[in-house]
Amino acid sequence: MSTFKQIIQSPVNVILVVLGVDVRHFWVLLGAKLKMDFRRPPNSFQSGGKKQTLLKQLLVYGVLGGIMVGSLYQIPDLMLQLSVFYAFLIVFAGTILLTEFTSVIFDEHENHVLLPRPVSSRTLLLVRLAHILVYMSNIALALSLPFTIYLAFQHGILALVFVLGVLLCAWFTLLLVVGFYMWLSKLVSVNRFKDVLNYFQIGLAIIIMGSYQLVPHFIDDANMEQLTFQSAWWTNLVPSVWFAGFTQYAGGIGSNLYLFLMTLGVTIFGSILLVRVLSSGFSAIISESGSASSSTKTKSVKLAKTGKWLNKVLNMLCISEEEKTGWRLTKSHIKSDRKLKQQLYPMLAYSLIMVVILLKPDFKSETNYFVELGESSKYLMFMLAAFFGTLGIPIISFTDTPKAAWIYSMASTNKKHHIHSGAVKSLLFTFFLPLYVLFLIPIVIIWGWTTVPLFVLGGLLSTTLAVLLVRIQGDKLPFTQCREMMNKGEYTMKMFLGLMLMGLIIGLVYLVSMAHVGIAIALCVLMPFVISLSYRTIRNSN
Amino acid sequence: MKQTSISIKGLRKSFGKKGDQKEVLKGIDLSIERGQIIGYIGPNGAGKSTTVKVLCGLLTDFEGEIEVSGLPIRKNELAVKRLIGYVPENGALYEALTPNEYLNLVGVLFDMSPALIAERSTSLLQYFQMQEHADQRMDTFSKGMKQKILIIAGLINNPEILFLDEPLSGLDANSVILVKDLLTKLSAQGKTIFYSSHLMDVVEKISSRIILIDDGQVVADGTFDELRQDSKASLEQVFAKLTGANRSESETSVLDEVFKN
Repeated sequence: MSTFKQIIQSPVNVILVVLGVDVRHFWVLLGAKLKMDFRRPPNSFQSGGKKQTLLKQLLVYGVLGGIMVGSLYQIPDLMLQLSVFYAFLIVFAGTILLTEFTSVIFDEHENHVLLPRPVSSRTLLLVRLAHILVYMSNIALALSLPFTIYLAFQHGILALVFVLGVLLCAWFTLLLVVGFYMWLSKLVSVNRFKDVLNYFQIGLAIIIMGSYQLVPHFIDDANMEQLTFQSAWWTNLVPSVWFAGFTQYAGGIGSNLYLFLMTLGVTIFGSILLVRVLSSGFSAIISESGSASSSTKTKSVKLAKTGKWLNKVLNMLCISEEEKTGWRLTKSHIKSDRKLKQQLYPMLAYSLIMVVILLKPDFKSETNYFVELGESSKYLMFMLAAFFGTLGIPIISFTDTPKAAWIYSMASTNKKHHIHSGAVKSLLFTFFLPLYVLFLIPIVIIWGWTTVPLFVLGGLLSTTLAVLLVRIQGDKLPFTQCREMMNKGEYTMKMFLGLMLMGLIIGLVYLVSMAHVGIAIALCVLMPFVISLSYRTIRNSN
Repeated sequence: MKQTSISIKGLRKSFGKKGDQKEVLKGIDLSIERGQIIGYIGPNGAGKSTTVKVLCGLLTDFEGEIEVSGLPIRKNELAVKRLIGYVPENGALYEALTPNEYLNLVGVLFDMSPALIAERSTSLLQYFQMQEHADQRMDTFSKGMKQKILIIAGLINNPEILFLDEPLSGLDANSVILVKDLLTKLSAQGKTIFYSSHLMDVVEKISSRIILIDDGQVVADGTFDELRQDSKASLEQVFAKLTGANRSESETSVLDEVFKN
């Protein structure tokens, strides 16, 4: 064993023993999992290696962290800066955990490999948590790198303590999410667990995003420079404040021992509670849940029915039978693929929360608020919120059973990529269009009919941007890639990349808004041709 | 004196939500002696794989009492797992690993020493003519090659009891002979083999006792000769008779209709 490995492993081994985990089993399983992650399947058509992709992801997270530092720089109080950053980190890490790592925690395939072997449920749970933590740490460290540099310049050695705080915070978020899952498993039967989990994830995503995003956004921006951290009884209950207090105290510039102890206490006792006490429940869930779904009475799954009106829509929007097939296939998949639902439905919730965040409603002076709002250009923010409805596109290629790849290969058609364009259209119709129509109502009420052409133009441009999301994904046909091949954190990265591009579109619509309304109408008339051409690029892919 | 290897009393297992449950196992009682090769057969959906999964610890929520080598499995989960080997029906492997890496992983989980893992892996890979593929990744393997690795992984800990769920799936004729020989040798050494399969000819040849289940219940239990009751019937014919698989004329005429053109 190399010295470096020993230095890393020795203290961890002490923790493993305390948690009642088999040390040898733990390291060999974790080693195997990481080894597998870095081995791409030989038939993958991904360009570049996994390491290269990971570096790209970390770079994007670094840029996001840099943007965050721009906002934090305005806050003069270190305690508040740290609290806001940790809150951001908990939301970000929680979101990634919910959307991308739940399948790692409840990996059914792995159950068949490991459960017949003498591995304790504690070891099994901690290995899965540690596996996720490796990726979460990478993401959290990349995200916090710019702020770490800022802290190093401003406060010296505190930056090192901050890095430790970031890792603890990532671990805490992981415990929080998995702890919720464990708690949930105690409330419902194993057979119902997966169904409930689905709704629970959506709910939890809303709560996390809502509580950590809405509250700070009600704070008036104008007073940002005068803001200081005001300690109150309730602030001691906020996790991000614990970590901020921990960083200050351990860094030698804070005096709140309670927050320091709270951070250590929650992470240590949380780990013990989860691994030593709740892991037996976890073992039962993972052993039963996989078999339960396959052995229950066969449900009759019908291909998505297409009623008269939907047939008309299909005839209008799809240019070939292959496109219609792609549309119907996607619709059926969304209904039956639980993991796909777990990723798609929280997006709709994020979209609604985004509206509230971006508009910052002021309930104290409603009249003035709506008058001021009507004079502003904040309707543009609805476009950004609605864009969440397109974010299913980068994941449409992935599924647990990528048998569609064989079906496409065997199909007697040379229009296979029409299936892809049909799938994209189906996603836009199911998620994006309803959001857009919904948002049109407050836009007409608050900003009047004159903004409608601009809003429609934004929608049409978003539809074109969806094509770019397909290109980013590498034109992989729907449901042909094994979900395991999706790089951890890759989806979130693409989501943010998409949002950044959407920012450009909003800028463009804003420029158009300064011109005569006729320009917007003319562009709206022109856009269907552009959309048609852009979707042709999907259909003509090789 | 004959030793009981596996004792099952009143095994019941249901799936599904309350009010919409499907009982897959409806009270199975079995006593299996050490050294027996049990052929566990039954029609699709009869509950064969569910029984094996319960016995191997893949399913933990069941009714009834099960003892393996005298150990109640509910209270001695890990101790029981140390005694058994399991060969599943499908490729439950870490396919991105090589056979050597995977077998090392499984060996470590059984707390075997590195030297013992290496020795057993080499011998078993050699027996199944897989030694030249020992350092190739398994995601490039054919179904049969993966199945061989699953069998080797099931044997790496030299188990007292071996559970096999359709172990010959994807194997060529030569490999089938190897497996049959191996199972006979293991039985001679006093190991218990619990062999669940649809392949009647193999079950007929290797089993010292055949258990037929249908709709979650044991419908026949005995040696092959006892099951065919002194007739010349094959196991396939016995199976068809006991599980009511004889087709009616109307069922066969459906096919005539489909392929008439």
